[in-house]
Amino acid sequence: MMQKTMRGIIGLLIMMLALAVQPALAREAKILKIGAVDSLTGWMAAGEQPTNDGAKLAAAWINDYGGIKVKGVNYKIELISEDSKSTPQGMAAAVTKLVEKEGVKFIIGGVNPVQNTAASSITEPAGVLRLSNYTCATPEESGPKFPLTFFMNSNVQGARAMLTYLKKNYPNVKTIALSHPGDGGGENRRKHLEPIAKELGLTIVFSGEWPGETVDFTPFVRKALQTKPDAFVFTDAWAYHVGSQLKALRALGFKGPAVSTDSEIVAEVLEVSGPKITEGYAAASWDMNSPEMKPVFKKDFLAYAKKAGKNNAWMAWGWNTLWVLTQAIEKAQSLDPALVAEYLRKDAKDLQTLFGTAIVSGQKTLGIKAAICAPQAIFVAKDGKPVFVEWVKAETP
Amino acid sequence: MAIEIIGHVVNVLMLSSIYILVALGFALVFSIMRIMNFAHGAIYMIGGFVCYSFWVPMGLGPWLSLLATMVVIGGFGLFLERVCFRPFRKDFEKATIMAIALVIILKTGADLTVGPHSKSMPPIIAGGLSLGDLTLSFDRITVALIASALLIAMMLFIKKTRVGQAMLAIAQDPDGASLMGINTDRISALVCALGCALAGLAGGLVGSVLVLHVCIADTMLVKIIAVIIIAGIGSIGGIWAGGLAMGILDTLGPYFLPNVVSDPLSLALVVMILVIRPRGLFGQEA
Repeated sequence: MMQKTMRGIIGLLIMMLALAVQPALAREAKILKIGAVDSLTGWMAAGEQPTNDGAKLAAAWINDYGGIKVKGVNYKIELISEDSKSTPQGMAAAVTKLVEKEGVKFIIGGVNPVQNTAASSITEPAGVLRLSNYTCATPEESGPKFPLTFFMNSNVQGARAMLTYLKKNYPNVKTIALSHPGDGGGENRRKHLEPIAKELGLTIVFSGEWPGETVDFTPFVRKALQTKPDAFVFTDAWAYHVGSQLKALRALGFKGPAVSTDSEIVAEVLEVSGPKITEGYAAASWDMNSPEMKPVFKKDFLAYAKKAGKNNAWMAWGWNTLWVLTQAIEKAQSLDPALVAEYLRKDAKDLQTLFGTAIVSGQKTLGIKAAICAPQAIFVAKDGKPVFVEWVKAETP
Repeated sequence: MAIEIIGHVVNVLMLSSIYILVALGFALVFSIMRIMNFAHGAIYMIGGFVCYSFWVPMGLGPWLSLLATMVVIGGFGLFLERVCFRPFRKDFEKATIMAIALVIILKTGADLTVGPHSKSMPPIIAGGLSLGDLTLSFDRITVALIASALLIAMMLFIKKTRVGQAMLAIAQDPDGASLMGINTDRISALVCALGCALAGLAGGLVGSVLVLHVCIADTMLVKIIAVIIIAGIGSIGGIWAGGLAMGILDTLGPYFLPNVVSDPLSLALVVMILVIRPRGLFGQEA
């Protein structure tokens, strides 16, 4: 009798356990694999390594809030990182691995024309949607022939805001020198900036590319200064290049203002070239310590960064890129890259980023709507610190 | 025009003397130990960051930091010679593999510690000399002077001292020198320490006028190899000419020529020399 009762109790317990476990199993989310190709080593790692870290933080944040829901099914994000090694061949190898071995349908990453071109040569034929972190707006990397390739930032998006800032704060500036990286895209950048400059009453007196293997920027900067520009404009560079050129500019006695039209972290440039040399330098980007940043930046992003023990501003790039991609997938209610691309191009709205709502633009510049631009904040180096100026709209025309 | 030329001359001297400082260490190690120390570019980069640590976070100031860097990196050179190079001195292939392994170890170490960030030190001497439209920064002049003075001291050391003569003797005939009672192990250790100390100092000087980054190791290695090929393998004196040629090309090329031409100019010169005079401008017949 006692044995029977015990069996009954055990049986009841097993049934209760099974009933309790069943809904939990049903609720368990599926996994959505997303590839992240960034240069974790090599000369581009300065910005791309933290970008990758940022994407990982965003994945953790999205998953902590339940992942994304597509057609009633919950998906947790599994981010698979691959090192593109700062080279096109590294990028090609990394993307191939993600597409063929991991079978991903969505990839984030890529920052320059050669990297983007290498990645798209694999993702486009494979039907994989890639959201790159950046485009230099060259026809080799972006345009109608790349329908599945999108860009989170472009080197054109801050041009109007920064040239306007220059004109507003330095009314005597009439002539500008443009400094481009030696990737062959200088002429393209000048072409994009010239109409904006003209509209603002600025004349481009110099437009030059610095050699890729530059050790000392002095000869390049000296050549630019021969044209007697009132201001110096960096169109595309890492803090290393901007800081090096600022050092050379100030060493040669140039006292005029200097700005970047691409997203440059003023705090980083300050670290490279020091407070005295960097004084007055401005760029449209963001800052880790500014109270002017948006609530999601200050609350969620910084908390996750702190938890991970990291504090690099470029993490915001990776966070934004993954966040926007997952929003697009969720809003398109599809895991089909072609349908997500169609959504982004035709119906995308209310795409949130750490800096506010982003817009999809680029029809005039790229020939296709593929540039997703988030607002940017202008910071200027003052007394060794980045000082907030204003939030500005970023757009790739 | 004259003022402009002065500006170019200062830059050429500054850059050339840095190239020569680093290449001289590489050439000395090769001449005496018969080892192609491909890690020399990485040692130069590490030297720059070591100097930064002394100078900025520890606040030792420029002169003490540069001196401390030479001591630390020189000490590291002693370690390299004893542990990594001496066992393979008579085996060129194994020594080369060891040097390549060192490049990877040092760069990975820098990646893990410094990370991908750039650093730079304040000028050794702030300010500049204004000559009309041109400003000559005291910093560049100082760097050129320090590097040139050290190079002259090194050449005098090699030419005028018994140790220097012993170095030359080993470079010419290691077995003969050994038979004459020269302690090749001790001289090799000294040469490795000196070469590394010079590279470390060059890294520190570069951090003051330019910017430090892990990738400067690769850039400098390419420059070192170019200087050595122009000079001729084994020619220590030729390093001066090779370094000067590279400094001129890297200073005047970007100034007078478009980017697409100036960038590969130095490498074109290297290829030309390899084709026309494979032993280099000052190298001796094998």
